[in-house]
Parts: sequence; structure tokens; C-alpha cells
Amino acid sequence: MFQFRMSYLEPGYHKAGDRPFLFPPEGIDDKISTNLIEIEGRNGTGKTTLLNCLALATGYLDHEKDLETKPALKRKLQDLDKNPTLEYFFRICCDKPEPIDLKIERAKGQKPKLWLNSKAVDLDTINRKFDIIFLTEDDPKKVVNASLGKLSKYISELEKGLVSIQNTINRKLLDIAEFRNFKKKENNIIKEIESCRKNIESKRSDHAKLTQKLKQLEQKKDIKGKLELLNDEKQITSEYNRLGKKYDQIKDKKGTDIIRSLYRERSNLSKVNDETKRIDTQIIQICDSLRHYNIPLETEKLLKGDYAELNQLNQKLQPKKKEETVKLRMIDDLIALFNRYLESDIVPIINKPVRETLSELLRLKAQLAADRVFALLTALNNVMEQKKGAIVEFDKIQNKISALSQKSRDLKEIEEVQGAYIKAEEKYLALQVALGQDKTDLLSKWRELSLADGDSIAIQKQLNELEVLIRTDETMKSKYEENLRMLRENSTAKPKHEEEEENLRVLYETISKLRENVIQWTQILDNPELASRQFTPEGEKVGFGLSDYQKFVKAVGWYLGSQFEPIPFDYKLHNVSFFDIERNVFITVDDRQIHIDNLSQGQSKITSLTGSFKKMDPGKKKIVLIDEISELDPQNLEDVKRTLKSKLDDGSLLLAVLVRPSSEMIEIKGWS
Amino acid sequence: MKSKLYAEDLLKKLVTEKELKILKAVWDEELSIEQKIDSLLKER
Repeated sequence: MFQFRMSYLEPGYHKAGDRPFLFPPEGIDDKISTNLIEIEGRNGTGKTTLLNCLALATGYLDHEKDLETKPALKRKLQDLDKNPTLEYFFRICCDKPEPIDLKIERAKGQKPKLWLNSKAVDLDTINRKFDIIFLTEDDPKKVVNASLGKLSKYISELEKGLVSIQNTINRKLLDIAEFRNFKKKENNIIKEIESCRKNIESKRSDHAKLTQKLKQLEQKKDIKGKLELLNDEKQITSEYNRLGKKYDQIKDKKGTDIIRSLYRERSNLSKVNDETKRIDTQIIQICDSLRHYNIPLETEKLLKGDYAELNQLNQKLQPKKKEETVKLRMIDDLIALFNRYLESDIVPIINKPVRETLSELLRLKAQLAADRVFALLTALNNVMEQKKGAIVEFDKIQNKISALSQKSRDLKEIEEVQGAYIKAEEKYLALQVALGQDKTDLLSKWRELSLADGDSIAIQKQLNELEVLIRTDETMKSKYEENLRMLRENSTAKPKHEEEEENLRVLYETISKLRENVIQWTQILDNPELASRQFTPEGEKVGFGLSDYQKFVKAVGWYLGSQFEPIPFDYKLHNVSFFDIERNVFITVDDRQIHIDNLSQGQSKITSLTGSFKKMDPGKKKIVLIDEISELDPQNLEDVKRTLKSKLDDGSLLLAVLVRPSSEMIEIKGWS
Repeated sequence: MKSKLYAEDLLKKLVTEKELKILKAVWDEELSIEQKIDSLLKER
């Protein structure tokens, strides 16, 4: 019976929180009821490590002679022994020829504890009673492949590290370039600002010169004007006085009042006209009525103011009219008198009450009024009187309007006079200013400025254009200044290695070249034969060439050769000094060449196994551990198994564990 | 964890001294990339 359990954390591989390596894996029974065991499984499932642990547990590290030829195994066992996370439990039992119960246990960070038949023992006891035969992986092809694979993986990792540094350097170079670019941009903007400043300065200077010239021209014009005024002094003064006087005469006329009055009178005229028409209508009506009483009057004549017919009629009816008029007036007076008394009062003389008297008077009045012709004539006279009045009023208003119209015409003259007067006054005032200055001085200045020549309007235009250009330049300058401010605000800080740009570039180039070499090394290690075809003497000039290839192959050959375990060939162990990865040939220290295909793994293992049994103490029980027996052909495998079975049967073998690779996960089985 | 440059004997035969320093810096897990670059620049 064999029981086995082990776990550990691999330094450099496991990270905090990772689960440790376990053997057997979860779900696989850790106990098997036989002592002849075969374990199959994929690479990396821990088969070899189980054998290593078992070898360590059973004291194989003390087998110095064996380990002399297996430095790699020795290192592995020492590393395991030092690993504080290693823990294992092994139990091996058998009952022939006598009962044996060997138990070995190691807890984390502690020394192993051993029990033999339930009695605690030390490792020396185990060494005295048991022999360990550990046939490790010595298939030369596999060893070579594993070494090359490991080297290739390592070189790939180096390449990744180089890429990482290269990328960082590249970023730094970009940062520096960006920083430098910022400086360039900054310098360009500063130049633009300076250019704008100079332009503005130059244009302002031109502007100042033109302004001075314009000032001289205006001064010249001013002096000329003053001199002309002085020459015309008498005429200007005279004109000013004349117009002033005239203006004083008419200035009180208020144009607004005149227009308003004119409007009002015209309105009145219209009213009078309407009244005249109304009167004319009445005249026509009265004349028409009189015609009914055979009193023909020509209306047209009356309307035209011809009173002849009306006067004749009045003369004819005058006496009667006068009498009745007196009567009527008297009746009216009496009615008015009696109305002041009570109706019951008695009127003297006639001795009648007031009521009765009034009634009689009203009756008489009605009789008088009933004289239609008389009434119409009276009315006609009245209307004609009204017409006369209307005509008079009409004429009167017309006169007023005529006067107002004249005034309105005068108003225009006022405006003209006023305008002329203002001009004369301005000229007069300018003259007064000119008179206030010394004429000699003016003449002197005139001589000074006589040479000043130019078109002041053109100069003013140039000045305006210059002002526009100055404003444009100032706007541009302002924009550039703003851009500069923003650029500076957004600029990055000076890169850390800005002053070491050249060194960074050199380092980048060195890494770049190194990286190319490393990539080529990986390709050579993956397939030396294929890689070698790329390199020809002609292609040596650029990059990784034939000489680099040869240099690498040679270096790797020496490196592998120095690490390789002695190889069994021709019944001898040969120390290897070089391995030719192109030809798969070992070069031994005594300069022999052994092709890898000439080495037989199976032969080696079975020879070692039988040899070991022969050489070892027959009094000791054997524990046989065989790693990687994949290359054994079926016959050799059968021979190994048969040998081990016979050893178990004759009592010289306690346990045999064979490990071989397969595509299965893990399979643990026994054979008999 | 700082670890010795693996296969240094092999690499010595393949690269220059400067290149070997770069590889050593690459392999040094105790240094950040920035520190690796600083150390390489310092040696130049």
C-alpha cells in the first residue's frame, strides 16, 4: 500500500492568495493498495515533483555520489528542502517477508518526522534499512528540448522587458519633442507679436508726421482766412451792421402767430359766407311769399344789393306801416306793463281787470300780426339789414386776411435776413478774433507756412487709413498675445529627461538593436535549422547576420554543454562540453561526437536499474523511483516492470513508482 | 523579488557590456521602469 500527499508554493511563481501545487490533484485518491505504481499524466501536473519529494523524504540528498552526476536534480531537491511551504505525507506498507509500515510526514516549515512500524525513527535509520534508486529524466532529447525551451522562454521575457523600456523611452522622446515644439511655437508667436509691435510703431510714426503736416495746412488755411478777413474789415463790419438793423426790425414778427391768425380769419370768412347764403335763402323765400300777395320783387336784384324795388314798396306802405307799428309797439308795452300786476287788479279808466285787459291786448296784437304782407315786408327789411351787416363783416374779414397774407410773405424774408445776418455775424466775430491778433505776426507765420503744401483732405484720408491699419495690427497683436497666454497655460512641464535627449536616443537605439538580436535568438532556439536558412554571407552586412547566428549557436552550445548531465553511451558516462543545436550532437570533453539519436533512453534506464540492484546492498530494501520512462519501447518497459515485480516478490523491493507522460490529466494505477 | 540574471554566462558571450547592463536592469524586478531608465542613463 502506498499513500501520498504533498503541497507547496513555488517561489517566484505563486502569488499571494494562489493555491499551492497539490499532488495528487483534487478528486484523485491519495492511496493505492499496491506497491508497484505507475503514474501517467500531462507535463506540469506534478508527477516529477512527487518523485522528488519522495526522494527527499527518504534521504536521497545524502546520496552524494549519485547526485554528483545529477547537479540539476540536486539543486531541485535542495530547493524543495529549503521551501518553508512544503508539506507532505507518505506511507508505505508491505507484509512480505515481514510487515513494514513506513510513515514520513513534514508540516510547513518543520523538519520531517519518520515512523517505522509506528516507532519514531531518524533519517539515518531509514538510510540503513532502505536504498533509494532514483532514475531521473535522462532522455537527452527531452533534456535538450526542455533546456532550449526554458532558454527561449527566458529570452522572450527579456524581450518583453526591453519592449517595455523601449516604449517608455519612446514616450519620453515624444514628450521632449512636444516640449521643444512648444518652445518653437512660443518663439514664433513672440516673433509675430514683435512684428506687430514694430508695425504699429512705424505706422504711429507715419501718423504723427501726417498729423503734423495736416496741422500746418490747417494753420496755413486759418491764417489765410484771417488775413482775408482783415483785408475785408470794412465791408464785413458794414454788412454785419446793415443786416443787424434789418433783422432787428422784423425779428418780432412771429411767424407762428401770423399763420394761426390767418387760419382763424379764414374760418371766420367761411362762417360769414355761410350766414350770407342763409340770409339769401330767407330773402328768396320771403320774396316768393310776397309774390303770392301780388307784390312782385325781383329776388336777383335784392340778392345783388339792389334795394330800389324794396325802397319803393316801403315808401308805399310806409304810413300804414308807421301807424300799425306804433300800435303794435304800444300793445307790447302795455302787455309788459300789465304783466307786472295781478290778474284781478282793476285797470283804471277802463275799469276792467288786468286779466281781461291783457286778453284784449293780445287779441289786438294778433289782429295786427295777422297782416301778412306787412309782416313779410318787415321780415324782408330785417333780413336785408342782416345781409348788409354780413356783407360788411365779410369785407372786413377779407381785409384782415389780406393783411395777414402780406405778413406771411414778410416771414420768408425774415428767415432770409436772419440767415444772412448769422453768416455776417460769424464773419464779423471771426474778424474780431483776427483783429485780436498781431497782423505782423500773422504775416510772419504765413511766410513760414508758405512752403507747406498738400491736400488736407487726402492727408486726412491717409490718416484714416493709417488708423485702420494700426487698429488691425493692434487686434492681431492682441490675438497673438492671447494665443501665447493660452499656449503657455496649456504647455506641459519640462520633461524630466529633456536635457538627456541624446543619451535617451542612444539608449533607445541600443535597446532597439539588442531587441532585434533577442528576437532572432528566440527564433533560433525555436528552430535552429529553419533559422539558419535565413542567414547567408551576403546578408551579413545589415542587422543580425550569419556571424551573429554562428556566435549565438556557439554560445548556446557551450552553455548547454556545461549544464548537461553526463550521458550514458557505449556503456560509459560521457561528460559533455558542448551541444550542437543545429545538428543535435553532443561534443564530449574528450572531443567525441555523439548524436542525440544514438542515445537510447530505455536502454539507459534498464541498464541503470539492473546495475543499481547489482551494486546495492542486498540486505536493504529498495525504493525505486523512475521519472520519464516515455521513451521506453514496450519490450524495455515490460523488462523494467518484470524486474521490479520479481524484486518485490523476493522481498528486496518496498516500493516502485514509475512516472510517464501522457495526454491524460492524471492516472494512478498499479501493475502486477 | 530581485533575481540574478539567468544564463548570465551565456549572455556575456552574446552582448556588449553596455547591453548586459540593460538586460540586468530589465531583469531587476525591484526597479520600476523609470528607475531602470534612470540607472541606465546614469551609467552612460
